[in-house]
Amino acid sequence: MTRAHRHAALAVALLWGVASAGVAWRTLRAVDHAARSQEALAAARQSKGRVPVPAWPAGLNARAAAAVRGEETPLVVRGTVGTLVTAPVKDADDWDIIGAVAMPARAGERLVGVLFPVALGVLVVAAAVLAGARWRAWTERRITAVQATASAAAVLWVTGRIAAAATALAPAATPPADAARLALAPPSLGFATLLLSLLATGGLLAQWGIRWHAANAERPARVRETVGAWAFIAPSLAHLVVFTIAPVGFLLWISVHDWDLLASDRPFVGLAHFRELGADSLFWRALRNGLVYALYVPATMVAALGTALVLDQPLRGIKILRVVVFLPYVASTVAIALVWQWLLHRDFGLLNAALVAMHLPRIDWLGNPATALPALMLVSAWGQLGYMMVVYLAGLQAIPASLLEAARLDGANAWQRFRLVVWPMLRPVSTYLLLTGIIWSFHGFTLVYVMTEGGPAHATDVLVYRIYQTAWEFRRFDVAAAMSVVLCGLLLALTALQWRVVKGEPADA
Amino acid sequence: MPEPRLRRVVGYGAAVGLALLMVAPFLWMLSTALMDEFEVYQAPPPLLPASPRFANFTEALTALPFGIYFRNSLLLAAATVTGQVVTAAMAGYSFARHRFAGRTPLFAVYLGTLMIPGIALLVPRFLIVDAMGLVDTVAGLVSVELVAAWGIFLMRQYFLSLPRDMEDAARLDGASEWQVFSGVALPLARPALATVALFAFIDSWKSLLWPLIIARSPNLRVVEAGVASFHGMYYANWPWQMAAAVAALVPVLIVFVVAQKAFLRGLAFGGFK
Repeated sequence: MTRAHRHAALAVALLWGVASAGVAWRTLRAVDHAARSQEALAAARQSKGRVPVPAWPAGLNARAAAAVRGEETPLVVRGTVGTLVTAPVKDADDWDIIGAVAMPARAGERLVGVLFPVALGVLVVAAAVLAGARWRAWTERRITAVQATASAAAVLWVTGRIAAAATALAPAATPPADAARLALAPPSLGFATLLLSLLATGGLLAQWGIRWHAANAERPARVRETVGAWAFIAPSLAHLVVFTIAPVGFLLWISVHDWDLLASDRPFVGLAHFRELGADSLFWRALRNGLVYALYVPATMVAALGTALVLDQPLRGIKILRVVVFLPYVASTVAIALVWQWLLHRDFGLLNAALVAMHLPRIDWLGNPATALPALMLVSAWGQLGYMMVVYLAGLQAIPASLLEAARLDGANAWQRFRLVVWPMLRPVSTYLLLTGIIWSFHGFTLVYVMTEGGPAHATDVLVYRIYQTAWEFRRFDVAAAMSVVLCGLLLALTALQWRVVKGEPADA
Repeated sequence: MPEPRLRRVVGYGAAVGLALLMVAPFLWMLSTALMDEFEVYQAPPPLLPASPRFANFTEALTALPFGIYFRNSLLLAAATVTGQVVTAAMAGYSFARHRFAGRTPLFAVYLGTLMIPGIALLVPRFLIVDAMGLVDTVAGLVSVELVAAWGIFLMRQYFLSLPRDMEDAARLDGASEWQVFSGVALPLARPALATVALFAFIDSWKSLLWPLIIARSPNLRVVEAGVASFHGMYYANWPWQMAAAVAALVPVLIVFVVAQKAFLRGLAFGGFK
C-alpha cells in the first residue's frame, strides 16, 4: 500500500462522508419543513379558509402557485423555497383549495437542522481519518469493515430520525385527504435510504478498487489489461445499471409503495397493491387471457413443422418461397394488425366473404367476445409461423441423412421415419420454440392495442395491455408495478425452465 | 416410375400454396391500398381495384405528417443500431479477449440481465426517464434500447470463434489495445456486426409501446405510432389505412431482403434472442 493509495482511500472516504452528510441534511430539512407546513395547515383550518391571502408571497414554488390558481388537481401543495414553507388554504367546506399560506422556518430550528448533519459529517470524517491514520496497523479487511459499519450506522440513524419525525407528524384523519396529506407528507424514508446506500456502495467499491490496485502494483500488465477491459465494458455496464438493474429494484420498491404522480409522499403500503390485484377480477381475466393466448404457440409449432417439411424439399426456387413464408415475422406489426382487421371485418372482410360463399354465417370476429381472442391468436400464428418454420428447417437440415437412410433400409415407411427419427431429433428445437414462444406471447401488445383495445368486454385484455392502461391511462403506477412484478415472476420462471432445459440437452443438440 | 414425379408436383403445389397463403394478406393490403374509398364496401369484395388509384398513397401520407414520423423512426433506428453495435462490439470483445479482475462476476451480471423481461420494466424505466426530465424528448425515445445484452453475447461468441493470432501479432508490433480492437478484430467480425445491426433496426422499427408512452407530442411520433393513430382517425377509409400500412412496411422489408443472410445467422444463434 503506497502513500498515493492511502491518500486516494482517504479522499474517497472524505468525499463519501461529505456526500452522506449532504443527503442527510437535505432529508432532515425536509422533515422540518413538513412540520412547519402542518402548523400552517392547522392555522388555515382553524380560520375555516378565511385566512386572507392578499398577495402571493414572492418566490413561491411555481407548481404550488399553479395548483392554487384553479387547476383541477393541486399538484404540489407543500413546497419549499429557501426557508419559506407553503401550505394550502381550503374553503369552509374543507374541500376546494382557495389559497395558500407561507411562513418562514424558525431560526432556532434551522440551526438544529444544520447542526445535526454537520455533526454526522464530522463523525464520519473522523472515522475515516482514524481509519486512514491507522492504515498500516490494521488489515485492509478491517478498514473496509469499519467503513461498512459507519455507512450502515449513518443510514440507520438518518432513517430512524425520519421515522420518528414521521410518527410525530402522522396526521389525524383529515378527509378529504388529498390536500391535507400532501401538506403533511414527511419525506420518503425509502428514498433517503436508497440514496445513502448507493453512496455507501459507491464508496466501498472505490475503496475496493484502490485496494486492488495497490495489491497489483507490481503487475502493471495485469493492471493495464483490467483498466482497459473495464473501459471497453463501461458504456454497456452504465446503461445496464441505469435501465435494467436499477429498474428491477425500483420496480419492487414501487410495488410496495403508494406512487401517485400528483402526491409528493410515497408511503410504504406493504402488499396492499398485490391484495388489490388479487381482488381485481380484470387482473385475473387478463392473466387467464394471456395463458389462453399462449396456446397459439404449440398450435403454430405444429403448422410450422409441417411447413418446414414441405419447404425442406430440394426444389428449384424453394429459397424464395422460404423467404416469402418468413416475411410476416419482420413486417411492421401495426401494418399486420391493420390488414388483419380489414380481413376480419364483419361486413366487408375477405374471411367473411369466404364464409358466405360457403353458405356459412358471418362471424363478427373482433366484435364477439367468444371469437376475438381466437382471432388474435390466428393473426399471431400467421405472424410467427415463418420464424418457427426457419428454426425447424435448420433443425431438419441438421439431421444426418445417413440416419434417415438407415431407417429406410430397415423398412421404415415415411410416417415411421418421421416419428422414430425426425421427431426425436427435433425435440430440443421444439422445447426451445415452445418456451421462448410462450415467453414472447406475453410480450404481445401491438395487436391488442391496434385491433381490439382489450375488448370486447375485456375478452382480449392481456397483462401488458392492463399494465399500459393502469399506468398511462389510469395513472396508477404503483398497481401497474405490482402487476409487472407478477408478470416478471411468471416470465422468469419460464426463462429459468428454458435455461435448465437447454443445459440438460446434449451439447450437440 | 411415376411416383417421384407425382411427389414432386404435389410437393411443389404444397410449397407454392403455403407461400401464397402467407403472402395473401400482403397482396390484399396492396390491392386495397389502390382501391377507391367506397369501392371496398361491396358484399363480395372486389379482389382487384377497378382502376388502381395511386393517389391514396400521397393523400394518406399527407393527411398526417408522415414525413416527420419517418424521420423519427429513422432517428430511433439509427441511434439504436449505432448504440447496440458499438457497445456490443466493445463489451463482447472485452469478454472474449481480456483477462481481467472481476470478469466472472461481471459476466454473470450480464447473463442475469438477459433473463429479465424488458416488458416488466416498463414502469420503472419510464419513471427513471421521467426523473431525468427526458419524457417527450428524442433522448428519452432512444434511451432504453441503446444497449442489448443479447448482442453482447453474440459478439462475444463470435470473437471467441475467431483466431487470436493476428491480434497478438499486432500487439507485438506495438499496437495499442484500441488499435488492435478497431483495426484487427472489428473488420473480421463484420458478419456478426451486421446481424446485431439488422436485428436492432427491425426491432426498433417495430417497437410501439415505448415510443407510445415516451413521446407525447405528435412531432416525436414514430411510424408505428403514427399509423396506429391514423387508424383511429380514418377508421372508415380502408384504402388510406392500407396505403399507410404499406408505407410502414416498405423500409423494413427492403432492409430484410437486402440483408437476409445476416438475419438467418442471427436466428441460428437463437439461444439468447
